[in-house]
Amino acid sequence: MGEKLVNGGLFLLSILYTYFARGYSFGSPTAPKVGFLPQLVGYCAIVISGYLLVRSLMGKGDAQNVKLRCDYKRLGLLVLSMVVYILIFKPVGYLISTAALLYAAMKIGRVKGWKIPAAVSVLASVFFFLVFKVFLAVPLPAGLLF
Amino acid sequence: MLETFSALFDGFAVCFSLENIFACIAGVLVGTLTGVLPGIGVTGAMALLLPLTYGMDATPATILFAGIYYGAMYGGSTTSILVNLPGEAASVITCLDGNAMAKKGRAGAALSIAAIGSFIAGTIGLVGLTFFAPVLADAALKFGPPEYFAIAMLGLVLLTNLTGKNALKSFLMVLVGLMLSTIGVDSVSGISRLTFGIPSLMRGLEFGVVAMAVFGINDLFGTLVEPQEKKEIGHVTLRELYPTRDEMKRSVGPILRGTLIGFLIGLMPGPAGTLASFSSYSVEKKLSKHPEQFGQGAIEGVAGPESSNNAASSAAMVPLLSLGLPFAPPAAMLLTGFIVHGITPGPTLITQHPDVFWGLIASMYIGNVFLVIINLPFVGVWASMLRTPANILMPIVMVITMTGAFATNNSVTDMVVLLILGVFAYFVAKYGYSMAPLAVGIVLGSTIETGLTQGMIICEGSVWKMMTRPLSGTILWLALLLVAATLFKPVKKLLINSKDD
Amino acid sequence: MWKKTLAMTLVLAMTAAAAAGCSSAGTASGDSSDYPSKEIEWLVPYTAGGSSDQMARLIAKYSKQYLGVDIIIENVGGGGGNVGLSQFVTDPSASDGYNITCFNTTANLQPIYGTCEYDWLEELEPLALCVSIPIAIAVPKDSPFNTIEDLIEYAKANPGDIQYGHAGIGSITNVAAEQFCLEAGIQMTAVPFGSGADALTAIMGSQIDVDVASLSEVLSYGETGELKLLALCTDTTIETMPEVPTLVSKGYNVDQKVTQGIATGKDTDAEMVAVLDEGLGKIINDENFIAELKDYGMDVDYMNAADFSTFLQEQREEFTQVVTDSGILEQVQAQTN
Repeated sequence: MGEKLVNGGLFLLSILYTYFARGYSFGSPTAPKVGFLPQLVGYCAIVISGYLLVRSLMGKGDAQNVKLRCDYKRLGLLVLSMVVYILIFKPVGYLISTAALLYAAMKIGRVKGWKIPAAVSVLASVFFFLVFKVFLAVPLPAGLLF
Repeated sequence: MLETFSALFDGFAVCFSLENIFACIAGVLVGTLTGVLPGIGVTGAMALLLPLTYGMDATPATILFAGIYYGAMYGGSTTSILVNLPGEAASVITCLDGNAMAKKGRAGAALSIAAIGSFIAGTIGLVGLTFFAPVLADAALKFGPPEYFAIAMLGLVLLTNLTGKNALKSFLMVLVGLMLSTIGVDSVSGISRLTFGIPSLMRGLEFGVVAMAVFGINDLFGTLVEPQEKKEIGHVTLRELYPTRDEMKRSVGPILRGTLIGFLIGLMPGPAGTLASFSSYSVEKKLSKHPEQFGQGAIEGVAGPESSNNAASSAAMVPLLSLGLPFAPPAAMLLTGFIVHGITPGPTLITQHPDVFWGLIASMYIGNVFLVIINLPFVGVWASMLRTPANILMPIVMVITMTGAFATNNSVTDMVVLLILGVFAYFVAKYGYSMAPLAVGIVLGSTIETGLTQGMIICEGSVWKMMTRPLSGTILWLALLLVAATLFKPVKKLLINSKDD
Repeated sequence: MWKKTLAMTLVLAMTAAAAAGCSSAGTASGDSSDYPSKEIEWLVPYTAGGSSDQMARLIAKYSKQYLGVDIIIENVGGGGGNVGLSQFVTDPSASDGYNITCFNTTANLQPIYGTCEYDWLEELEPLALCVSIPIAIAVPKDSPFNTIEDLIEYAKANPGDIQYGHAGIGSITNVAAEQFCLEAGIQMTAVPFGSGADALTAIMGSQIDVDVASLSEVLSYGETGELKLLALCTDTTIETMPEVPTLVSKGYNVDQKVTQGIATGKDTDAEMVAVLDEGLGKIINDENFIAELKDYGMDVDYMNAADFSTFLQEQREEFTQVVTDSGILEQVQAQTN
């Protein structure tokens, strides 16, 4: 089941890409334009992903028996926490958001207790802040702190 | 020949001044750090340090920059091996077997071999640079756009045989990589493609971000959301930290071959380090008596690629120093470094500023020695980091990747890309689609496209003409033969089966 | 095991803190009524190492002296400058007086093709013109052409046979080349490259027949004989190579050059603009600066904010004309049909 979905998804992706690629002119072999390579790539991808999709639909796919042991709830929470991180990154600032993300990720990863996650979150955030912002002069947002 | 030796000797003499030694150490340290940290690229680091060098003389300044360049090639392998995160584009392939070795408790061995191989290759590459620079530079110029296209195609063909059990799936991943590479403003025509009006997409997807997403985030998700078996790696003795005699023996061939491959490919423009490491991996897999071990932790898969990317960085100096032509962004930065100090590299560099030229080359030998000295003892430290429980280590790695993604271009968009591609990679990889071809696709994408476009114009639109040009033709025919060879077995099987019906 | 991790993280944090303490990252903000009172950020919309970047870094070297503050350079390259410029104009701090960027020929050309969302001439406030670089026509040293007349003769007899390289479709070198073809009545095939450096590599390897390039790229090779410089698309001659003719002297009305200037956000306070104008003027006219820039192969061509502004308007009108006449406008727009 999973394989059919993934193959189907890739097939759709290829079609979508080719659709956009056709918006650029192809040119000709003597004078290729910006659409030249994208369209070639797109058509190839449609053919290959289509073939793989059909094979998996017919039951001959080579990843038929893969079972995902993924806990979708945790995955959802993890992705959600990353989205929140991205949203609060600039307004709240690097230190607080990163510490929060670290804490969240560790709890999702089943780290027991709160002392260790809290300590590691704070210390690691400070450490990276110093390395990236102070040492390497990357402008990390200060946000609410200063 | 004798003059070269004596000039080199003078170079060493120049090198041993306090200022120059200091510059050398500083350069390689910064370079290693740059290589280890994803998101900070070599060019970025050089640009940051450029103002600091204004007060320095030409020689120490260029020594510093050069140190950053090849130092990064050492550092990049560290994170690839430990946490499946390529710190540099050239270290992507090291992730495959290097990380597999780490998971089996052989991280120390992998790191050591990477350092040793890098040292040997870097040094041999320098010897090539010292003695053959002008000749090689002229030869390098014979490669034009059709040849770049041909080599990139050969690289693709080699790669789709490498990974995953299914060559078609690998090829599809390459195509996805190519698709990703077309996002952004096309450098040749200035037209922006697939940016959907988002300004920060105009610069295209940064390779570092994509690599972090499809290798690192992918792995990370797995660790955090899947049930883990308790694996006690146990106490690792000092002896286990370093490669066994058998591993060392098996690495000799790959290191030497990797050096040769890396050096030759490094003479070309474009992502030479990356191409070199892929080619080396592919060659080693073909030559190995145990090809099934590749991907599971074969030491050859670490020794070869790591050597070739260091040889490539030595080779990149050839066109820069002898012709003044930078073939890669870090080399362009080095060029700026030269010019700021009043030196124009090119045919006249050796005659007008022999002290700078030979001092630089001598410093690179010394730098490589420093790097090996610095990296080897730390192997123990790095390897012991792995004993941190995964559910603490992984979030930290995740934060490094997110920060690195932002740091690349000070843009939140990169973090979004990281997340989306990471989720995509997580699901797709489970079903037999390998990520390395995708990484290759995005790296080679612009070379393939510009090579094809310019090549077609130069060959007046005729594919046949491209196949009959001496250099590009040879390479393209080779690629075709390889494709035929791969198809041979399954086609044969198909024909035999149909005969039986 | 936890203790070990904790210990390590503590050690790392402490080391980092120590390092931070020793580093000089702070900047003193002096009198707030004095402008400029803190560093100015220069967003260079090209990758590090190119000629705009070199010029910027050189100016930054002198900024403390004449402007009183340091200039920090940030490179955001890509898309011929479009990416960096887009980022600049969409950031509200572009007009706060502490942010500047580059304004080059390409920036004045691109909007004509309609390929970018913004018109840089409208979005930016010009501050100064710094550099003008002539454009040259170069051929490999073993090329059969020794003079520009040889080239034109061959091209007339074999239209489309000669392949020339330029720095990007629609770029000033492309425009200059096409204008030349128009004036001389010949046809050459254009091989597009992403940058002047790529085209230079190609001509050095004789992969293309001609390279129409900015002089700073080819001058040193012309002097040593690695390349032959057939003519100049600009109406000035080269000091060190007076024998290279200008197209104008041969009767072809082609006068294009690469210009590199400085600009800031359009809503910047007039007083701040005046201060920047004056400060940059002093830097650009400093003797040492001029000499150092010459080492890079760039000649100083200074215009203050007002003159630069007028110049850009005139240049825009001229470009619109040339681009339509020579057919480049069609070519670029054909890419997206």
